[in-house]
Amino acid sequence: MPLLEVQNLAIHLDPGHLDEPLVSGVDLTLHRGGTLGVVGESGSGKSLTCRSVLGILPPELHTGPATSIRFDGVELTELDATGWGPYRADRIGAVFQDPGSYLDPSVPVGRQLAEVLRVRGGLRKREARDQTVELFTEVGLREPARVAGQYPFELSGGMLQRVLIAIAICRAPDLLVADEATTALDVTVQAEVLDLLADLRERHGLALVLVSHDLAVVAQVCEEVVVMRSGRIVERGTAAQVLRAPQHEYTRCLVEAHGRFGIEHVREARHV
Amino acid sequence: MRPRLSSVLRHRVGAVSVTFLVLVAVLAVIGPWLAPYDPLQQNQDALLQGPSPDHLLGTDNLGRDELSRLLAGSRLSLLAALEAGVVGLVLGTVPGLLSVYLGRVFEWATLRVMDAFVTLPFLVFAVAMTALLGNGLTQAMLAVGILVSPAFYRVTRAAAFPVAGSQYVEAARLTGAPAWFVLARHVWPKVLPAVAVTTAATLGSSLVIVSSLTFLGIGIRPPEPTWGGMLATSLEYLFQRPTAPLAPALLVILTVGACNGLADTLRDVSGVRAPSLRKEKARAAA
Amino acid sequence: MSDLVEVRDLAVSLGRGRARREILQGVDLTVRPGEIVGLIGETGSGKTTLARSLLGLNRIDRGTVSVTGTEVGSLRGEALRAFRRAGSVQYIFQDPLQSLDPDLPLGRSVGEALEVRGASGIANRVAGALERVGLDSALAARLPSEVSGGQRQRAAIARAMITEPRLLLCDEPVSALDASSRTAVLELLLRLRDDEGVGLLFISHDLGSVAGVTDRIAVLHHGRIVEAGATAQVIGEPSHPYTRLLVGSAPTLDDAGLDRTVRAALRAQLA
Repeated sequence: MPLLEVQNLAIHLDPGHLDEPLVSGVDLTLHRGGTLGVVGESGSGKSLTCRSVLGILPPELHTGPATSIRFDGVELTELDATGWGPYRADRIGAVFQDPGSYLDPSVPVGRQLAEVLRVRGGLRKREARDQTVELFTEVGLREPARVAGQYPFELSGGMLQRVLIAIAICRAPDLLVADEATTALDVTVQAEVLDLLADLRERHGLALVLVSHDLAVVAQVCEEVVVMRSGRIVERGTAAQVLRAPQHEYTRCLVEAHGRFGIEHVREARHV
Repeated sequence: MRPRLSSVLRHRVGAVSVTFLVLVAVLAVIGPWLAPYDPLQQNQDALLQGPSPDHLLGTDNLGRDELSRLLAGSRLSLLAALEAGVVGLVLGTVPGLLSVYLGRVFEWATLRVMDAFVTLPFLVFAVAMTALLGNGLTQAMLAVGILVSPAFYRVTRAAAFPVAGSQYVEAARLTGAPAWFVLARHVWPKVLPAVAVTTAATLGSSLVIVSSLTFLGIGIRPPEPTWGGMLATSLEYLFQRPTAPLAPALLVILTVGACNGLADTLRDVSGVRAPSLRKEKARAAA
Repeated sequence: MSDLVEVRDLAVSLGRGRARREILQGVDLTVRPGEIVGLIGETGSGKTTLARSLLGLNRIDRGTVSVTGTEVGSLRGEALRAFRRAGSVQYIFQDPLQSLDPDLPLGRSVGEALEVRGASGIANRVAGALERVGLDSALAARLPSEVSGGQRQRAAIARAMITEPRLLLCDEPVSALDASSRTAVLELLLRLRDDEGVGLLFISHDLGSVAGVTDRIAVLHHGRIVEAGATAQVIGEPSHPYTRLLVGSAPTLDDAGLDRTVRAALRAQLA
C-alpha cells in the first residue's frame, strides 16, 4: 500500500464545483521512504496540491467531488478538524519558503520546539529541553544548546529553516512536505538543506515531497518527478527520464534553459 | 488608487454627502442674493417671532430675519472652516512630504514640532492666538489650522514613507531626477488619496470648531452672522422661541456629517487604510 | 576605449559608530566594453554594496571607482545627478514589480529619463525603446500590473536602454521571473550585447543560473574577490575553496555537482 495516494485531485473556487478548476486531474503516488518532486512555476498549482495534502487549503477553495487523498490507508478528505489532528502534527510534517514567518519572533526558537514536544508528545519540561538539543544537533545546527536560547531574528535564513525542519520532524512523521523550502536561501545554504533532507530520509526512512520551481533542485534529491503547469501534470517519470528525455514542451524548455545559460553550458563547452 | 468623483458618487453615502456639500457651497456663494431680507437689518416691530410666511424661520432678538442670517452665515462659516483646512493641509502635508526625503535632522525637528501641536488644546490655543493677533475669524482659524496640521503631517508621512524607500523612487533618482521631480511624479500621487480623506474629515471638524468658537464669541465680529453665533443667540432666548436653535444646529450637524460621509467614501474607494504611522514604519523597517 | 568599470582596491564601510563594519575590503573589478561579467556573491558578501558604489550611492573609504571613464567615488550633489542624467550607466533591478511605479503606465516609466533631461519627441523614442526589447509599443499605455512578469522586466530594460547606456548593471535580473520568461530576458540581454555592444555586469547569488551567459566571473566572499577569471576557468577549475563549494552547490541537471561529503569538507575548511 502506498503511503500517500492522491487521485483525481481537483481544486475549485466554487463550492458547487461548477467552475473551471484551479487544479485538476492530479494523481500522485508515494511509497514509504520514497521521494517525489513537484516542479512548476508560480500559478502551476503545485503549492495548492501540497496544501490540500496537508489539509490547509485556504477556506475559499474546495477539493472536487471525485478527489481522493489517502494517507496510509485513511481518506484525508473526509477528516474533520479533530480527525486531522494526529495526521497534520504527528505523521505529516511540512516546511515552507519563508521560515521566519512560521516562528514567533518573541520566543526563543528552542522553546518553540520544546512546546510542540510537550503538547503533542506529552514530554516533561526537562525531557523536552533535552530532546530539543538532540533534534537541533540532528538537523546540523552548530552549538545547538546556544541556538535553542536565541530568538528568530538572531538566526540566518538557513538556520531558521533548520529549526523549522527540526519542528517538522520532531514527532517522527512518515512524510515531510517541503514547499519551496530552499528558494529563499543562498545556493550553498540551499545545498546544505537539501543534503540534510537527503540525510534525514536515509536515517529515518522519511518519505519526501519536494516542491520547487527549479527542476535541478528536485532532480538532485528525488527519484520520481512530476512537472505541473496551469493546474495539471504535464509530465511525470523518474528524474533521469524527465531530464534526459523530456516529453512535454515546457519540460524541454526548462532543461534547455539549463543547457544554454547554466553551469552545464560552461562544462559542456570545456569538454567538447 | 486615485479617488474619482464617479466612484464616489456610486456609493450612496458618497452621493448624498457630495450633493449636500455642493448645495451648501452654492448657498454660501449665492445665499446673500437669495436672502429675502438684509441679514443685518433690525426690525423693532418683529422681535423673536416664530416662523411665519413673512419670516420663514422667524426672527431673532433684534428682529433680524433668521433665514437671511443663516444664508449669509453659511458663507462665513464655510470660509472659516476652509481656511483652517487649507492652513492645516499646507502646514502638515509639505513638511510631511519633506520629512521622508530631506534626512534625519529635518525629520526629527518636524516630528517634535508636530508632537507639540498635538498636545495643545484647540480652544485654549485659539483664544491665545486671537489675544495675540487680534480678535477675528481669520486669526482664530489660523490657530485651528495650525492645530489640525499634525493630522495631515502624519497621514502624509505614513503614505510617503514606503514610497520614498521604494525601488521605483530609487530608479527615478538614478536617472538624475531632482527631488521635486521625484516628489511630484512618484510620491505625491500615492499620498493624495490619504490627504483627500483627511481634508474631508478636517473640514467637518473645523466647522465644529468654528461654530464652537463663534458660539463662545471668539473670532466673532458681532453683527455678522455665523452658524455658531446664531446658535448662541438663539439659546439665550430659548424660552421665547424654543425651536430657534434647530435650524443652525441642524445645518452644522448635517454639513459635518456630509464631510465625514465624504471622507469615509473617499477612504473606501481609494483603499486608503486608517492612517497609522506605526504600522507603516514597521512595514518599512521589515 | 577605456574600460567600462575599473574598480581598484575599493574599501567601503557602512553603519555608524560601533555598528560600523567594513563591507568591502580591497576589491578589484574590471568590465570591458561589450563584455558580460558575472559578479557572484551570497548574502552578506557585499555585492549590493559594490553595485551601489558603482552608482555613487556609497561613500568609499579607499580606492577608486571609475565607471565609463568617470570617477564616481568622489561625485556629490549636482555633479552626481549630471553623471546620472548622462545615462551611460543604467541599473536593472531584480523585481520589475517593485522597480516600476505601479500607478504609472509603462510608457511613462520608460520615458522618465528623457523627461528628466527635458528631451523632445519622447513618445516616439519610448515606442522605439519598447520595440527594441521586443515589446509591442501599444503596451506603453498599460500599467505594470496589466502585463506579464517577462514583459515587465523587458519594459524595465527598455527604460534603461532609452539613454543609450554603455553599461548595464543587472542585479539578479531573472531571479524573480518564471522559467519561460527567464530564457527570453537572458536572450534579450545577450542580444543587446551582441548587437549594440553594451557591457553587462550580472550581479547574482546563483552561479548556476547565469554562468552560461558570462565571459568572466568574479566571486565575492566576505567583502573580498576570492577568485576571478574566464568563466570556463572558474567553473572548470575553481581554486579557492569557497568557489569550489559554490560551483559544487549549484543545482545542475548533469549530476556533476560535488558529493555531499566533499561539500561538508569544504564547509569545514571555510568555517
